[in-house]
Amino acid sequence: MIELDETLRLELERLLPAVDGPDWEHVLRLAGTRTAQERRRRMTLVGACVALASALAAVTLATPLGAAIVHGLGGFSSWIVGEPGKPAPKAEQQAFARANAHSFLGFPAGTKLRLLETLRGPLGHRQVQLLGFRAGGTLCLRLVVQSPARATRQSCAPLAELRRAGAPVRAVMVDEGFGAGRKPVWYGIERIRGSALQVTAGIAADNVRGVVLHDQAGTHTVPARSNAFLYVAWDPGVGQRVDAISALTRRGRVDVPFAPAPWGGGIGSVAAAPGPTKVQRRLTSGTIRWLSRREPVGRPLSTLTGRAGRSLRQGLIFGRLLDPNPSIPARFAITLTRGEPGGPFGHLRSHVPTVCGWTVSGSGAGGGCNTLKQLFAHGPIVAGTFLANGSDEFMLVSGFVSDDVHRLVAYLTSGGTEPVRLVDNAFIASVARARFPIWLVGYDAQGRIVGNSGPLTDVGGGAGPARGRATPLLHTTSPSGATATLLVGRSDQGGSCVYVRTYQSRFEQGTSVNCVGRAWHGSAVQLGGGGSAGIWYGRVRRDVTRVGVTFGDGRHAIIRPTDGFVLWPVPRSESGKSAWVRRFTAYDHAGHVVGTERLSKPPSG
Amino acid sequence: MGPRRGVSVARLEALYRERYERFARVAAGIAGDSELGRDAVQQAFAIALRQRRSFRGDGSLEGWLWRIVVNEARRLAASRRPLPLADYEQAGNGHVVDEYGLRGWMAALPERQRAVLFLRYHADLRYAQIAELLGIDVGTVSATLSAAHTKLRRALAEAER
Repeated sequence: MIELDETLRLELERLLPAVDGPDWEHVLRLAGTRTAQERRRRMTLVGACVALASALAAVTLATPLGAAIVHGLGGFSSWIVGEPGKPAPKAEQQAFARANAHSFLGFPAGTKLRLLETLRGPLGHRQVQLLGFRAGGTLCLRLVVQSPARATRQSCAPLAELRRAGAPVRAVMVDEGFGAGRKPVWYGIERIRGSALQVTAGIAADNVRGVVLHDQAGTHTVPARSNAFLYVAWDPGVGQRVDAISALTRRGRVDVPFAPAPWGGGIGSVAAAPGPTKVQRRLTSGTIRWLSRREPVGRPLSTLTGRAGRSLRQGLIFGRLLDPNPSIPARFAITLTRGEPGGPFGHLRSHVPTVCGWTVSGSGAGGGCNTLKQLFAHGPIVAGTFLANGSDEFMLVSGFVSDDVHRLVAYLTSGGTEPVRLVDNAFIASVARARFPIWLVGYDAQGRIVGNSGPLTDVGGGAGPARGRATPLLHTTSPSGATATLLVGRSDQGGSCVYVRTYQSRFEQGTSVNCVGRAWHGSAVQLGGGGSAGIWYGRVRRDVTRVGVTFGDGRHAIIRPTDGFVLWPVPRSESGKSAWVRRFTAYDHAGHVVGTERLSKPPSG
Repeated sequence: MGPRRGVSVARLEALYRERYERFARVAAGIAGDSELGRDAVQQAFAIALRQRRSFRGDGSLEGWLWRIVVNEARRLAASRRPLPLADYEQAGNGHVVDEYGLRGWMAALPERQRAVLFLRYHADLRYAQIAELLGIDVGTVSATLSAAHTKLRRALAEAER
């Protein structure tokens, strides 16, 4: 009986799988009650009147001005001097020195580790040590975890950021996971096990007594010692994340800006970045003189060993390893490469020389290539972001510029600008994720704006799967024999996630994931796929009752979405080469066109 | 001393957040459409907010809310005439995943009987509560659930063959 009840329950869920998240503010509006936002606005108005009366005495510590005052009361003295905490255990110092000596990205020989804090787990068999060191303009925190196997993790912050941030506490790593959790939990189509423990650590100013952190398990206060703090969530829940940090100072509690560790695979927020968008001198081509002349700037690529080195030297014609920011443990390589069939860049399968830019850090190398002709066709700045680990609070912004750019400036969302140093056309900067999105602007020798990078966004921020298993909604088989199943689950931003599993053969299979928030953005019909499987899938807006398909040869077909979702195999009669899908048209109940999606003709062959 | 009258906004909000998914699924099941189900829950809680002082407290708060949600779902279903769920089977789309052939059967049930299934399996309400909510006999609730079990047992047996 129990099994029958469970099966019935599951079938009912499948009948109506997509449920948006709750929206209490909407209920309040429907009921004609003031919403929390309106109440806040009202309180702000009242507060403004009080503030007028009490003038400067009422400056709250939670404001940026308040934070600046707190910062003025105490700096990061032991970090500036370079000796926070006490000397690290000898074994840790030796292990660090060995690893450092073997890395081409190593810190100066003789860099001394300091022990900042040690915490033990509830049963005493797990231990987390927080160590730290300063190397030039960089402060690094190093975690050594025995749980029971030994693991280490390191993350760094530029010293300048601490001076500039104006906050008494700077998180350096947030929710860094170690080990495997016990109980797996469904998130969409994946069972996620989580971590055995999660660590959040950072740097604290002299006047900070403690740090208050909030996550799904509650509010936790940890002491600030040796200008640092360490919080360990022992046996955290799957998906548990620190979502607020504040510092306890003699003057009160101060909220600290930071970027929560990404969770659920959401893509970056597309929020607008600040900075001038107008280009005063438009460029559609450019050069890198030293690369054209093959001048030996920087260091040879042979410095790079291991997998990163092999990747960079694939099809290599000429390349150099550059060090545009010595205070960051990362380098930038620019290579002239001959694209090779089957090489790492499928879209450049030709023997045309391409220019590649690579960010190389201790965790590996990542980059991209383009042909010489296309390289600066859209502007003189080629930029990207590089995050070695999701828990890192600082992200690398790196890339290169054409010879036309003499000065590069980063415009930060949190306000202000930051010069970005250019060395041999390359740049690397370490920027706090809390300051994203950012916008790089290039100036020529006469001070004119010659280009910008477009918004560079933080990881996470977009919708990802919410806890709970996605349920299958639609299944289909295409005339070519490919099969696809569409599953639907909830997103963590109150909307839905759609998963499509496609299977053509052992070698051609995949899963596409698309999560959205509650509000609908963009066209009323959003379908993708097609390809060799010949199956289109996606979602339509709630008012869409039919989707018209227009083929390249002018013929038409109609799809009836199921609960707002489409999984549609192109019929055999329409799957000839002349019958590529040209357009999807969305119709509402009354037959009015409410949206279209135009598609370009696929490349022949 | 009699039962306490009225309910606070905070309590309503807490129950809304905690049980939203169940309310929405049941309402969607009755209305035959996820969006209508969501609208029904939103409207129902707006009504509950406006009428919170009239809650007599002689029954459970959740039971009172269920009654409003179910009534709203039925009202919206009647006023908007959504596509019946059974139509999904004929859509020019991928076919609906229906491992045991239950979806079509459930979708074809009269609205009241479908509501019985959702109230039992998503709201976890007792037979008597469901009967009271829908204004039907306990025997009808029992017969509907029994039919669902018979149908499923048969489908499972066929799937094993």
